[in-house]
Order: sequence, then structure tokens, then C-alpha cells
Amino acid sequence: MKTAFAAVAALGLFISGAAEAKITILTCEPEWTALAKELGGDRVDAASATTGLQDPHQIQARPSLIARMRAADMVVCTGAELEVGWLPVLLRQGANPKVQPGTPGYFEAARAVGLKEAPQALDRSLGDVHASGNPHIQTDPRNILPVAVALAAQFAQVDPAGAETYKANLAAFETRWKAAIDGWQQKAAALKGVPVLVQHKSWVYLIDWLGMREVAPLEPKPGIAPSTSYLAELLDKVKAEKPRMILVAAYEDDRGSQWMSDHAKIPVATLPFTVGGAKDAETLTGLYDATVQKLLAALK
Amino acid sequence: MSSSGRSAIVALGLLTSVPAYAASDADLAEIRKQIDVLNQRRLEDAARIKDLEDRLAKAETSAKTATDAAARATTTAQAAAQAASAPPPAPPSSANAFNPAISGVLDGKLGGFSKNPNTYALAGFPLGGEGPGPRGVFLGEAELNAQANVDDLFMGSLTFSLGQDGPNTEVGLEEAFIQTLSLPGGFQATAGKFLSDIGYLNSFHDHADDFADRPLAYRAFLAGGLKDIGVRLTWLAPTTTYLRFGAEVMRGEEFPGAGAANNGFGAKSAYVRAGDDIGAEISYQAGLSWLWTDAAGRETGAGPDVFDGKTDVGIAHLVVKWAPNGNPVNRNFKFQAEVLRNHIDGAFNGLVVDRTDYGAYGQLVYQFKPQWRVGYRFDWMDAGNVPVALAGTTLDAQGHNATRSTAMLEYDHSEFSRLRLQYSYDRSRLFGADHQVLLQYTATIGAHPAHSY
Repeated sequence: MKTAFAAVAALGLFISGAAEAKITILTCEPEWTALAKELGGDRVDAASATTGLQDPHQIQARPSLIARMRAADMVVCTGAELEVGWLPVLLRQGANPKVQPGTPGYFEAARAVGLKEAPQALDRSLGDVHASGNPHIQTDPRNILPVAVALAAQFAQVDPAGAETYKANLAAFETRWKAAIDGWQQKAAALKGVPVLVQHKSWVYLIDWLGMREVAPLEPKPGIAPSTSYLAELLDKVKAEKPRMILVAAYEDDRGSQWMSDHAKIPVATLPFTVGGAKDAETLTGLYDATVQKLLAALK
Repeated sequence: MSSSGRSAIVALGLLTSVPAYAASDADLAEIRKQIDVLNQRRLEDAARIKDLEDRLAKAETSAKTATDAAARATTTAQAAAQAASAPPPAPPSSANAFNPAISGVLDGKLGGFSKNPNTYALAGFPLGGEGPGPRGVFLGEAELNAQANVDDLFMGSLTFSLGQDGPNTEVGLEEAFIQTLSLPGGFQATAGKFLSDIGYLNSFHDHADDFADRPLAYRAFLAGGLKDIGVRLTWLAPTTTYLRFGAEVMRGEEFPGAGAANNGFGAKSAYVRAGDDIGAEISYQAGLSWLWTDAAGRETGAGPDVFDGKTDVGIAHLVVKWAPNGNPVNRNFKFQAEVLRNHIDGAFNGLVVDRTDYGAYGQLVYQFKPQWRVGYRFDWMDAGNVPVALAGTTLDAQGHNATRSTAMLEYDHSEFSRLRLQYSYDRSRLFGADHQVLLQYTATIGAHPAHSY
């Protein structure tokens, strides 16, 4: 018995010792993995719980994720109730005191950004609304900056020895990122004022950034799939506004959008939504390159 | 009526009828004002950060040529970082800010049975719980859960169930436990009344199931599911593959135990669960559990049958899920199976019995498009032989293997509501088949539920 216990303890030491070299970061979405790598460089080992082809609202609290939660030094998520259906289970079952809410090991990106569309009334008859506002902040690259500042500061709390590195990485990232934003904005100038339909209300920040105009979402209520009859009604209503395209995230079921596309004779723009949501969106920069490029392609 | 008279009456009306609302309106106005102030401050902060960042950018460009500009840039960068990392302003204080997350589950059913459900029997097994339910419309258990962090060490959860038994309402204590949040080394302790972690289905509340009723093996060996008062300790191994060990010591009031035997330590369990992903699309969980109980004067059935002695239940389970790209929202597939081995050793109605039974079920559930799921489940039971003295009693299955085939169709309008139609071809009884139809709604209100795997 004693030797068995010692063996288990030794195993534990061995495994935790091996992981000590880098800060292990579990992110909820791939965009934060990419950002963590930009800011942390070699000091962090970041991986996402989800991919760009998965709906971050509805992830199963899989055993593998519980094991990864157990091993994490830090958890980086969007927050604003985006992960409310699964993250609490992981946090509870992961039995990891380092990453519980309120500790430096727990980070919510949405707290660094002013959220749009905070509902006036909280009532589920309005659909699956998020009490603190629309959580899909990563569709606007300008939101990445305040998140980066806050994340670098929290990295320094978790890993004080790397504080200087994080500061330097942040400064370099900010410079690069601002230049990149200017580039995207110039490229996307033609999108200004373009009326669009959206499948789910995922794009409010993107639309605001590029000055497009959201005519209507296809979902009758957030999180509730549209029926064909609803789409037909909607088509009648929005005809006059001449929407130019329908925005859909890569992970979404696009049957509703395809129907609308066929009947309204406008293209569907399937956007990556996050890093890894398209073949050409494998990096943080690539995400917005691809987004702008796909929007422009749909406009033609 | 003069306008001043009318306004006086209106004013009087306001004074007499809505003083409470007037107060809360004032509060609301105050809160709104504060929110406006906070929003304003946030905008100002954002503007300030932007301004600082712009200055930083400019400073950095000029830093290439001038060293003093570089120095300035560093100062600005620090200021920007400080401004951004400042904690968000605290919300206005209120007495209910610490209210727990409260959620309720409402469940109603409509049952149709070709055989009278009041005479339901599962051949060879004394039942500690209920059968398939009554004919006509009836309520499933309504549940009310409140949970919150107690402090930095514990979270607490309280779940009531309200059931309707004829004209009477029955209040049940489903769960009432505290659980540690911050034990080191992957340990977690739970104390109170809880659903045992044995098997797969046992740790779920009924309303989370994929079918409207529990598998026959759970009905026979665990009275639908074991929950008891006790202590649980689990350890999550620091491995990349999910590996959790757990042990429970319980009071032993609940079927298959009874009477809090063994000085109030009538039930014990131990289990191990493992799981992982296979590629991006497949994930699984497998487990082995064992439950040991002592029963002192356990009464079941109308007779009643009395059992004194030991029961141990071994459970092996496997759950495999598949979703295209690992994204279960549009389509997904779930396979679930459990094999239970039940060994009893004691006195049944005063007569010695020592035998081993088996029960198993396997089920497939397929979500073929958003909101729609279909499923099939097969149940199989095998009761051990009885000594001659117990021939003809509840324990005697007379060589009959109870089986049941179930098909279900489910419509989930949102994450919070569900309609389910289920048909079972049930051969639980010694003689004859029962056609069972259940129509069920389940609705969740309040706090957003988080689902275990």
C-alpha cells in the first residue's frame, strides 16, 4: 500500500515537474490561443478547447477537456456567458484551484471590452440572450487590443519572471496590429454601408467595424433555427432594403442561409468567425485577412 | 372634473397603491444612473486608452530617431497598461447580489399502457422504486435547484423534487451537498446527500436522460438511481487521458440497502472512470464501479417482501459520442451501454438466498438535424436461480429474461425545452407484452444549465 502510494506520488511529481517549464494555457476559443502565443511567445504553451469549426455556445464537457483543465496553469475564455453551458462543468470537474474564477489563472476577454447589445430585459422568450451583452467580440480586430493589454498584464501576474517579455511582446504586437487594422480597413472600404443579413447575431462587432448595416438576423430569436415559412416572411420584409449577402459562421448549419440565398438571389459569405474557421485563417492576422477577402468576394 | 382635482386623485392613487413600486423605481433610476455613469467612465477610459495608444504608436515611430521619445513611449505604454488593467468599477451594493443560481425543471408526461401499470412487475426482481408510471396525464418530478459558492473552499447545491402522488404532493430531497473547490492535487471532496457517481447514468438527474424512463437494470438494481447521504472523495489523475478515481461512504438508507445498517455506514462504493478523444470527432468515457450495501429489514412491494443482507452491484459502462468536426450542434451521435452485475447474499422473507443477476442496456441516439433527435434502446435482464423454498416469490423469474425495446423521437425547441415521444415494447412481466407510449415535455427555467458529459 505504502509503495503504491509512493509510486502514485512519484508519478504526480514527475508529470507536474515536466510541465513546469512553460505556462500551460487552456483557452476556450482559438482566437485567444493565437493571442496568447503572440504575447507569451516561448513562455507559454497554449491550446484551445474548441476549434473554429465548433459552436462555442454548445460544447460538450468531454473527458479530454476535464483532463486538460486539470493540467492548466491558466484558463483564457471569452466570458459574457458564451461558455456558460460547459465551462462551469470543466471548472468544477477539473478540480484545479489555480484556474477558478477570481484567481489570476482565470481570464475573461469580454471584461476588457465594452459589450454591445446588452439586453434591456432578460427573458428567455427573447431567445438565448446573454445577460451581459453580445460576446462575439473577436469579429472586430480593434477589440483584440484591449484584450491583449489585459491579458499581458494577467500573464505577468501568473508568471512574474516573464513580465518584461510580455510587456515587450505586447508593445510589438500593438504596433503590428494597428498597422494591420489600417490595412484591413483600407481594403474593406467598399464594404461601408453595405446592407447584410446574418444567420445568428454573431457579427455585430464586425458590422460596426466595417460600417456595414445589419438588416436582420435569419434566426427568429437568438439560438432558435428559422423555419422555411419564417424565412419566406422575412424575405418579403427585407426585400426593400436590398441586402447584398448573408453572413454565416463556418460552424453554423447553413441550410437557412442557403434557402435565403436561393430565394433572394444573394450570396452566402461563410466567414471563419475565429482562427481555424477556414483554411486561410490559421493565424490571428489570417483570420481578418480571410474575413475581409471573403466579404469582398461576396460583394462582387 | 377640474384638472387639478383629477391630478389630485391620480396623485392620491399613486401614493396609496404603489409606494413599494415608487421606492424600487427610485432604486432602478439610481441604478440606471450609476450604470450610465459607469458606461460613460468606460467610454472615457476607452477613449483615454486609445489616445494613449495613439501617442504610444507615434512615440514608437519617433523612437527610432530620438532616445527621449523612446523614454516617453515607455512611460505611455505603462500608463496605457495601467489604465486598461484597472479593475472594472464595482456595481452598486444590493442585498440580493449573492443570491444563488436558481433553476427549475418542469416535467410532464402522458402515459398509455396496454397492460394495467398498477400491476407492473419486473420478473425476478423486487422493485425499490416505481414502475413505468400511471395511465393518462401525470407529472414527472418538478425540481428546484439552488447553487452557489459558499466561500473560497466550498460550493453548495440544494435540489428539491416535488412529486404528485394521487392528490398529495410529495417533497423529496434530491440533493443537498457541499463540494470542495480548491483542494490541491486533483482531489475533490463532497459531503451531504448526492447522486452516487457509480455507473454512467446514476449521476444524472432523470430529466437529463435521453429516454423518458430509466433502463430496466437501473430499475431492478438501483431503484432508478442511487442517491444517499454520505461523503465522496475523488482524485483526478494528472494525466492527459482523463482518469478519475472515486470512493463513497454512504448511510445506506436507500435501495438496495436499507435501515442504515452497519451503524449508519450501510453503503460503500468505489469507481474509476477514463475517457479521451479519438481524433477531433469521437470522444468516449468508460468506467468500472462497484457498490456494496447492507440492508436491514428492507421492505419492497405491496406484500411486502423483506430482505436482510448484503447486495453488491458491479457496473461497467461505455459512452461514445461522435459529431462532425466535433461540433454537436447540427448533427451528433451517442452510443451508451452499461452492464450491471447484482449479487445478493442474505435472507429474503426469512429464507436464505445467495445468487447473482445480470442486467444490461445499450442505446443509440442520433441528432439528425438541429432540434431533432431519434433514439433506440434495448434492455435485457437475467435473474439468477432461486432455491426451491423461494419458488413462486418475487425473486423467481421462472427462467424468463425480461426485455424491452424502446424507440424515441425528440424535438428540442431551444436549449431549455423539449418534447419527446417514446414507444416501448416491454416484456418485463412473466407473461405477455406491454405496449407503452409516453409523451413527455421537459422545460428548464432560471439559470442556464451546464451539462456533464
